[in-house]
Amino acid sequence: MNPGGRDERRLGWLLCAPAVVAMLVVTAYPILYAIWLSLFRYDLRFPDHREFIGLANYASVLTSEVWWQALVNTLIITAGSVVFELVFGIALALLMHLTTVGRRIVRTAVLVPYATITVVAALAWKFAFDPTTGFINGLLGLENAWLTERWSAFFVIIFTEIWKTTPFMALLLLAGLTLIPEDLVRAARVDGASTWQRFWRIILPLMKPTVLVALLFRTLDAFRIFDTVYVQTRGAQDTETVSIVGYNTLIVRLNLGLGSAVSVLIFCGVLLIAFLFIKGFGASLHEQREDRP
Amino acid sequence: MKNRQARRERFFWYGSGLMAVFYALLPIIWIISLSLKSTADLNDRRFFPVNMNFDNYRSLFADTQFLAALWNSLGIALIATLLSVTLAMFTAYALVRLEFPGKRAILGGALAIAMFPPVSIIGPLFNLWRYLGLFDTWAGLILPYMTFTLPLGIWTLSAFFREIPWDLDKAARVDGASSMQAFRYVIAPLAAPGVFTAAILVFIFAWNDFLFATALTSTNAARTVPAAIAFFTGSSQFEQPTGSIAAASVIVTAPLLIIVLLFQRRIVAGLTAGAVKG
Amino acid sequence: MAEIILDRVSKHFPDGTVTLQEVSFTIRNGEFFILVGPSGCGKSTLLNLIVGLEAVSAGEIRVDGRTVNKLDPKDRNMAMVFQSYALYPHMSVRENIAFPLRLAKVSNAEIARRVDEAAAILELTPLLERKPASLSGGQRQRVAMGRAIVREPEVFLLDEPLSNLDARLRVQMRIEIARLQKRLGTTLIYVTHDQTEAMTMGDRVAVMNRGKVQQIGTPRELYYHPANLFVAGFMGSPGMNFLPALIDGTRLILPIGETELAEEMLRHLPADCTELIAGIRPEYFRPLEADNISRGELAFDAFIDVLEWSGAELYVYFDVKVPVKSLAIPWPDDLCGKIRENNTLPLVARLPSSVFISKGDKISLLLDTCKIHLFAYKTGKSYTRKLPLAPAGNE
Repeated sequence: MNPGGRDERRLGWLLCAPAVVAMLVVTAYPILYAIWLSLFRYDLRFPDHREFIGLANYASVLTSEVWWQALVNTLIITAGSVVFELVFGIALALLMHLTTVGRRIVRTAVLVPYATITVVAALAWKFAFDPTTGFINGLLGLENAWLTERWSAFFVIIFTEIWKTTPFMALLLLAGLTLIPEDLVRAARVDGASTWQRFWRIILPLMKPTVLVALLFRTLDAFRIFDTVYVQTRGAQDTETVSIVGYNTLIVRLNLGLGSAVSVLIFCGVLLIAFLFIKGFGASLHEQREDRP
Repeated sequence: MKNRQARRERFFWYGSGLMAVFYALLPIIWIISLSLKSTADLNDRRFFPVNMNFDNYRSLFADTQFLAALWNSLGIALIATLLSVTLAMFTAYALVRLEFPGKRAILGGALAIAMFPPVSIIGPLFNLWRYLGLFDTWAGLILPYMTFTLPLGIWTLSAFFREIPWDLDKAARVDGASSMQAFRYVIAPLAAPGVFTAAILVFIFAWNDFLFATALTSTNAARTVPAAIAFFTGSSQFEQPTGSIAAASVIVTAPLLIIVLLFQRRIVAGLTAGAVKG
Repeated sequence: MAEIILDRVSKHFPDGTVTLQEVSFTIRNGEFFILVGPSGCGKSTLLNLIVGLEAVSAGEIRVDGRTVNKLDPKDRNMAMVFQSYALYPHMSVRENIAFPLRLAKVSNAEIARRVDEAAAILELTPLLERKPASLSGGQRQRVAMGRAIVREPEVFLLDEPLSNLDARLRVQMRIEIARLQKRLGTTLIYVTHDQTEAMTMGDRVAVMNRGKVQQIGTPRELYYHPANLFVAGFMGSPGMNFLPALIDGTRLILPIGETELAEEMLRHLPADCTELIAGIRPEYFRPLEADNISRGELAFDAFIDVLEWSGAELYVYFDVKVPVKSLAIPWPDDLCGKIRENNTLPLVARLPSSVFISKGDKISLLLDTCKIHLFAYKTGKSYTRKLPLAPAGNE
């Protein structure tokens, strides 16, 4: 009945072991292996020429224009989608929180983009913007070939990302919204705050932890963007992202050494973003968490 | 005066609600109508098909490649879900109910993996899988899916398990239940909804994946629908099979939409449980 | 029905905390027995040990002469009502009540009969098909009771069953539970932190503090003859007043005046005792009328700080100055009355509600000194416990 401390510890470790082992084997080990591979000249088309070259792969990645261009592209897509997702997400969350009519229908409908697989979403919008099959040009009276120019291609990619992931953002924010005690908002109203003031002074500050968590998740997610770009442009028109570069080097060109260097750099990018978020917002996040039981 | 304002407010909510629904459904309706167009009408730049027909679906279901992909998707996603949820269940139970050192490390590690860029490991996995004979097999996809969904499963299930009144287990034992019976009649029914929700979320993730599916497969042996759609080729090289792609998109989206419509509430609870309470 | 014997039962946890220390007592067959004490005193742990949800670390629990230490809860034939009621949220009221019977493999017809009977007793019949979530607090409480009585167990265990109810419902359920127990005649152990419940419901009460039983007795014994400071302060509301007291020969010196100690009281005091704590219940005071002070009564003036008039009673709160000599002695920490910074001590007196006074007034009070309880400073032990009951008129 009352497991002594030791039995409880053993059972705890035993139950966690399978998951921990799986996570170590399929993620920790490969990333270490990637670091190892990145130190070699290793091209699967010429497997016999495998040779230790130290950091030379990193040097060639970091001096190549392709990498930096891809990084800039990735950051453009990340910033563009996350900012709009946040704004639309808050609006959508407020709508779902406050609306008096058809709340259930709205909540269900909003899950549709979440459940649509990314490839399908990318294809649907690709066809919609297509100058021959699409309806958007007809609707707007334009003759644009959206995906054949860099900036309009970015627009379509970001648009697709926003469509697909705003609902997820909105649902996270909605959960934060419902955690705000109704009495606080009422008290602010009695104290004479207008609707707008209640939003800016009460609701938004109280949602800050949720907003930060949602932003962190989405930023990291957007930084890894692959599916949408691959389906819509395959990286053409200078829309290559870092994940596309990694994929092409590894899987298409089969250059495992160079590709692993790209992989490790992407990994470092993700770590850096997470670090910046935690460093920049961690304090405030922590402080807010303290108040909770 | 008051009445007028109330009406205006109602109108506003109706309007914005309608807009949200429209926003969410537009591309889905578009891809459905595209899939129902005949080849001749594909380029008519209309939103809705003029002559509806099911030719695209007919040819799709005659295509062995697509059927194989559908079978692969279904099998791989289901098995990965089963494994992932089972392991996540053990872990979440231990994290919620037991005291042992390393708890925080496990939660933190899971979170780190949730943020992990999959593209960083496809190279090593590609190499490793070819070496181990897992390349282009179900197992070769099931393993990464299971791992990458474990954090989601662990976080969601921990959040749900925390809500279960575990004291009921005591009550059942006083009522005369053995520990097995207490689990079967009281704890399991209470935990089931959470487990089910976690399973849905994990399934959606596995069903959605494209990167692993393109990188770690090469033939019909294990290629899943998202990868298959992207590599669809028409009868000739210059004609993109838009109609077939649209139909395939509808078919691959349909199961998830049905799940979402049926279990809307659970999914919302599951998506937000880990993120807000954790 | 059962007699439960606890024989030097101890409970300590792996981290070294001791929650129960050598607890021994007997719960008689058919008794309404109460475990009362402040939170963390070990009363709920003791209940969990009796029902078998936790294992004893040392000692023995015997039910009807049979040692049950090693028995699983399901084999002890005891029914428990939890503080949270522990209703199974996925089962209807009927299924909840039937659950123990189903586990015991009772036939369906018999289950239906017994559930209906229990529901009738507890007036739950119209609610049988509802889920717990749709019930009010009082109804949930009754369902929990129903689940307990339906198995016809040897012992009922109730863990703070009323603490989640509002005040009015609590009074009502208090009576219902007591009536139910008398009707069924089953041994019942009731855990509470509320001394009112302990006083009003129990045949016998065990007062617990810090993992030890402080005193066991009928409510009357506990109230009039508390064994120590803790019991004296815990039972009764408002609590007993405590004052520093000095002994000078045969005289007792209190902050409110001096009096000659009765012969019997002196006899129980140790010879070298000079400092004591005096305990005075609020009802030992009465207003002084027309200067007729009888022997053993002490008159003094009090300036009223706060009044509480509740219709039936009047509570008068006033301060007394603590003599400098008594200040040197360390005042026990856990007493409800605290000596304030300015060396005053708050006291309360219960007076007839017909007395008409107001805040700030001076009132002359009389104290019946034969009723004073005297306690040792250091151990808190009572020196007056063995004295005969107070005259009948004061009960």
